[in-house]
Amino acid sequence: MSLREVLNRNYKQVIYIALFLSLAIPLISPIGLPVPVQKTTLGVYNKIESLKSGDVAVIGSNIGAAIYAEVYPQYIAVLEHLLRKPGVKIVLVGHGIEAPIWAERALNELNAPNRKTYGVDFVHLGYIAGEEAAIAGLCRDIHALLKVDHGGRPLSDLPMMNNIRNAKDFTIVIDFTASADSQYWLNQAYASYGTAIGFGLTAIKVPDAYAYYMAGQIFGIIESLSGAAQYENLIHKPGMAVTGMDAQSLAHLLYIALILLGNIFIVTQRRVK
Amino acid sequence: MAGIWRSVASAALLIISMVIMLDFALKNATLQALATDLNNWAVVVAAFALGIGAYSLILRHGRMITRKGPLWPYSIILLVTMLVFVVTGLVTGSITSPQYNWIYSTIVMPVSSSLYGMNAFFIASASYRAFKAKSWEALVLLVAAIFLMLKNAPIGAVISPILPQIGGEIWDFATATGMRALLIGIGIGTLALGLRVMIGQEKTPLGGAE
Repeated sequence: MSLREVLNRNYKQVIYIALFLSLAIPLISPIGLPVPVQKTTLGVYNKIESLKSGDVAVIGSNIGAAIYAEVYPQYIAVLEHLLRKPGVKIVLVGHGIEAPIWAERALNELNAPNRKTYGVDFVHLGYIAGEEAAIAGLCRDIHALLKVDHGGRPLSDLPMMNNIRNAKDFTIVIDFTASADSQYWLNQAYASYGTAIGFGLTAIKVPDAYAYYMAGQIFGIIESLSGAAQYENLIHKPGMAVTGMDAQSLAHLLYIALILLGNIFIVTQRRVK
Repeated sequence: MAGIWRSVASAALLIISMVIMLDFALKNATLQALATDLNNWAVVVAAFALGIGAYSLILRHGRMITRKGPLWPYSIILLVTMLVFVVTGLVTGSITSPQYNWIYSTIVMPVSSSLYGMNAFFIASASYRAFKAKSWEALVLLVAAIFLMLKNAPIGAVISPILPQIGGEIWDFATATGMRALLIGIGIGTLALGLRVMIGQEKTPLGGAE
């Protein structure tokens, strides 16, 4: 029986098994394919590298269970990079209901409470409802919008927040999302205050952000899992993204093979007729 | 009565949007304080909207259960799950508590990521069945897609360093240019819609057009 007959009879089963194997085998036994660094990822890395003591990095996030596989590795890698920078102040904020869960998870995974002092080096503001209005509120006056942080501690008791009032005090903003909140940061922080913006996005969200990157309005984009893998290599801390890249590569090859096979079969079928 | 309400809402909408717009343009301290307050009210209203959303969900699915409507057992599952999350959040005092995290990690995360991951299988099946070069336009799309896949996966550079470069050129010029045109179109559309809302021509935000 030819491959064409097998695919014609049970194409779903064959394709699903092939995809499962192409994903599972590299995860069990990694191939170790090199991960070339893209200019968009390098843009984020270089911007964070250039931060000096006292600079403020605002990390927005809309990470949820559906997108964590793509975006959480980016979040962890960037947070690790920021935690290594002495004196840089980190403000974590959530635009999605699930975001605080992932922020706390990342802080614990990176052992942030033992590496830095809460309230002096980093703060977690938690989830703020209101989408663009919430981001506008943060940019206008954080203290007018919020009185307490995620854990209920008054902002006035957190020393680093005394010097952070509005978007003029943000050195950079990096937003991790699959939703429109990346656009909101551009509208509210970049357009109004000129704050430098970067993104960590799912693959499907990259094309619209890329137009802003090409126009020089954002300093970089970490593009889906491949961007996370590149970032992990840049900070010399390979993690879950690097592991996943081999699987993604083989899956992409399988997709290409399937597209070509489908078209070859059509062409040969036409010729036979 | 509805007419009066709509006129009042229209006037409020016009005044509020004018304050926000003028604040952006003029940078006046009084205007800035007023605009900040108005903006913060929007955040509070949005937080209340979450509660109204939950209330309407309970009402709708409660009705579905009492009337034994289509797929009503799923409504029970939805309400019970919602109750478990709300009670756990309220009792432990935080959605980052270990108990809430446990439910989230053992139920929500696997279910949600499995559903998302299933897309990979659908895409694989669609690659074989649907992605056919039946016209020249489809062929261009197909070739571009292959180069972009090889750009995004490290295997492309392993096969040949030229492949991701070609993908990069397509990405830089075709994708970014097309997307920019779309974004500018969206921007102009949003502006026109905003102006219509401000001058009361667009009735939908104020309770629906008649």
